[in-house]
Amino acid sequence: MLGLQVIAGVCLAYVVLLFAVAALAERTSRTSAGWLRSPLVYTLALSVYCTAWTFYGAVGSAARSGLEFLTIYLGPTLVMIGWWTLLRRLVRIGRAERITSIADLISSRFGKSAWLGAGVVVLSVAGTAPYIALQLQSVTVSFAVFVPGGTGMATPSSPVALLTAAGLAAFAILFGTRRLDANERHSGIVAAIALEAVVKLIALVAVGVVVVVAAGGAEAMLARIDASPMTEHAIRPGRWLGVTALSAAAFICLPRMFHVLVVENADERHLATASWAFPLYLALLSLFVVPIAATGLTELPPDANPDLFVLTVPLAMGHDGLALLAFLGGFSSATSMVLVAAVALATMVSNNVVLPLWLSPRRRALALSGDVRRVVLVSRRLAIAAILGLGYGYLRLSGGGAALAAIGLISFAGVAQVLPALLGGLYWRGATRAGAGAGLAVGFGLWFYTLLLPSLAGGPWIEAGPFGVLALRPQNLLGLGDLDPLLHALVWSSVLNVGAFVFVSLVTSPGPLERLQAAAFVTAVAPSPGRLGSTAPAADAGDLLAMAQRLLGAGEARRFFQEEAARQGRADGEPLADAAFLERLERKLAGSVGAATAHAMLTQITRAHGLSVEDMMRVADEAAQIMEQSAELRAKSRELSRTARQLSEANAKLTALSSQKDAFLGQVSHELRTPMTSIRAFAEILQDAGLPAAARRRYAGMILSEAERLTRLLDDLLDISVLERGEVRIDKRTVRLETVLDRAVASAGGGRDRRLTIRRDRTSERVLVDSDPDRLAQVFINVIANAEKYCPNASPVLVVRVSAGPRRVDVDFIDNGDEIPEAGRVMMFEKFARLGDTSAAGGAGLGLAISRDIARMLGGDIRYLAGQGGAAFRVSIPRPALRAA
Amino acid sequence: MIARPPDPRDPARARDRRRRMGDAARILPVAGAVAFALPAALMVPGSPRLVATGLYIFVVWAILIGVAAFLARHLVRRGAEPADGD
Repeated sequence: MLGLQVIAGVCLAYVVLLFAVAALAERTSRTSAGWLRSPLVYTLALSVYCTAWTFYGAVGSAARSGLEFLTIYLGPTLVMIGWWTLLRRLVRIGRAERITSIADLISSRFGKSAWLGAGVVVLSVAGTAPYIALQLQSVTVSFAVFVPGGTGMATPSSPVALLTAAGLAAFAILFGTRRLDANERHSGIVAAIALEAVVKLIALVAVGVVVVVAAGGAEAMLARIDASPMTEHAIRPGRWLGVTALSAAAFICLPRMFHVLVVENADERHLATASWAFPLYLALLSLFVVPIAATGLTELPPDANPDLFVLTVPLAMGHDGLALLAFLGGFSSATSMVLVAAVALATMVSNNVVLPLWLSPRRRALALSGDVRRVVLVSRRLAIAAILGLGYGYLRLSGGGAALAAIGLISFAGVAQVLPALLGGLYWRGATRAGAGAGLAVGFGLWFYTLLLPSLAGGPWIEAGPFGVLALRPQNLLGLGDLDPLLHALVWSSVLNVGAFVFVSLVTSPGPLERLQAAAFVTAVAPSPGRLGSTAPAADAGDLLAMAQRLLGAGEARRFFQEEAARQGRADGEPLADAAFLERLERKLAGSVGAATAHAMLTQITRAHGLSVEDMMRVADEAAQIMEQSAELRAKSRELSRTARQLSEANAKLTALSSQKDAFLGQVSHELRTPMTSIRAFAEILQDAGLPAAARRRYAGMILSEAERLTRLLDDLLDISVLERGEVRIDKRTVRLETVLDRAVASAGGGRDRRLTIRRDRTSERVLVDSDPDRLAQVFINVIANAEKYCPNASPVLVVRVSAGPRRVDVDFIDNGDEIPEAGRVMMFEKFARLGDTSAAGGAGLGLAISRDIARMLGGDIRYLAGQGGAAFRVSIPRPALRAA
Repeated sequence: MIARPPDPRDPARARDRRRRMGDAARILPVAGAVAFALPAALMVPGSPRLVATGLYIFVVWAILIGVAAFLARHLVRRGAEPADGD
């Protein structure tokens, strides 16, 4: 039998070893990451989940209630193999938001609420202190096993408990608060608990193998199990499912688990390894639990404590060394849990309770100055001491024993109350601070009342209800039925917790900071596991093309991508999303959505921080829609303003025309009156007999000339009305331009006082046109007559220039007078138009209007030719079709 | 399930393969939960069969670990650039 000295010595040696490993790890972590940052160490560190309660208690539980102990491991297994969904996101958010604890996460998600963080701290401390007490108890009880007649050692007042608590506090303070890291990682502690994880596993497996071998192999062991009283314990479906779910929730929410899972995670790929390696660890750890329990039940006296079978079975078989190893396994389980829990809780207390309190009277912004560092470190050291003191005090108060053994699941149920707020915060943008607070308060209250309180202060009130009120019986609220107390508490607390969380979230609205944090947490989906190097293109061309198409249009985007692929020399038409390409794409997109938006969109897609590609697609879609709409609006407004301009132009023209018309009517009556007046006057003179013959002839000539002028005016008016009604007969044929011009010059130039010099180039005029010679001559006469009438030059010259094109001939008439002012160029072709008041007028301003009507009827046109130095008109005449030529 | 390694020259297929791996990784815990819940759901009172149930649980456990290991390897491969020191 091993003596107390041996056990104490071994314990001490083991603790020294742990110190050494932790110190070594601290030192190496400063120089190189090395083995400390391997997925194996991370996986082993996760085994801090398996405490002394599971190390010893699993066998005890198996002996008492069969396979139910497995549920404690099945929950975490499901969480780990589901890492891709939940833990990956948790780790990513933890890193992005620099989360230091689960209280920090909840506080940060809900608008950095100090109250919420402090609430989670209180919940965590309340849930963990009894758990620490349980660990201390397991150490004292297991110690007592090795001391003959040492039942006194097993009591809570034993110095072993106090020593263990003090030693662990020292260890935690030494390695947990040595320095202040921005990422809150503690290499020394992680290394120590990794080593302890190995000891735990080896110890339990060794005991298991020895037991199986002693029984005569696996077959014999199965037979023994089948024959053991354990088989009488059927699975209780409610507890089976409930405890599996509870352990899964606790695995995420326990402060120490969150610390190792999220805060100590250095690389996402470690999570991938742990996703299968940790379940494997759990499976190995639980593989021999039933064989050990079966052996204990059959080999040991019936009054032996099943919780200590791991120690007592090897001792009974005479394997003292193995029992010592098992003891070290249990010791490791207890110490690693206490260490990590103390450090995690101390971090919470200092960051989420002490610092906010300490900073609140000092409103000025403080960096992490030496002052604050000191506050943090001191508060953490005090917190570690306080937490262990709390655990020890709880052990002394509760008096140990069976009441304490139940505390494991009670503690789980307490911390699991954080889960709704946690999951809601990660996946539901609408979750609010008030909702989370309400859910936590309700859940915590119910847990306290239905589970913790009955375990602490048992008595008749549990069965009779407080003050005799049956409906308030803590283990049968409202008298709804006799459930298992744990299940009863779970159902009530989780249903009302979730209900309060959802309801209050729905009726309250988040503040601005909450909204911001909600977006950051809920959309924290990243492209791939593993860290992304700065050079690695995170976006693939497919995503980029899909987005670009929405902004640039399908054809344009595809063309751009193909050009880029060609530039990169890629045959598949899909360009590599390298920096140069992204830069060009950004510039291209900036053209449609603006530089800032384009940059933001590309950054979002390529870095995939914050928003998913789908989110960006929606943004792009909306932007494209808005652009489309605004383009439509612009087009519409352009059309409208064009129409308005046309209308005002038409209006101006109408106004001008109407005033011209009035002026013309006055003119016409005047023009008609003047010759009529002179005709009447001369006719009266001629009536007088005795007029000399010469005078009579002169007066008759005047009457004739006035009558001719009248006739001409009436002819013009007739002409225009005929042309207007389209009743003119056109007789088109192929005719020589020279002939028509000759006729026009002859009839226009005849009988005038002012002599107009006409310069012609007869060679160019020898061209055939397809026209009506009479009508065409009329146009020419009109133009020539105009020059004759209106050219202000003392010696007027008219140049006739002919240029023949393939389809038509242009005849330009350019005089050496003044250019027609721009304002008149349009109006002068209108009927009744006259430019200014010219006394030389022989017509009534119908000439050009008639000319244009005729020219158009002949298939040509007449228009003013600007910039020729004088008034210039171009008459276009079609050439005969080729076959006719 | 197709176990051929992704062809780096075919980004579309690699992408699709990765998507399927991710889907499988999401479904795995659900499948595991169903498998682990079966003993409770199929409990026939009076016939505990502890050994058979225990063996069943451990077999399911082993399968889940194997599939998780397979998925983890393939899901991480793409992000497996040279580790950047912390």
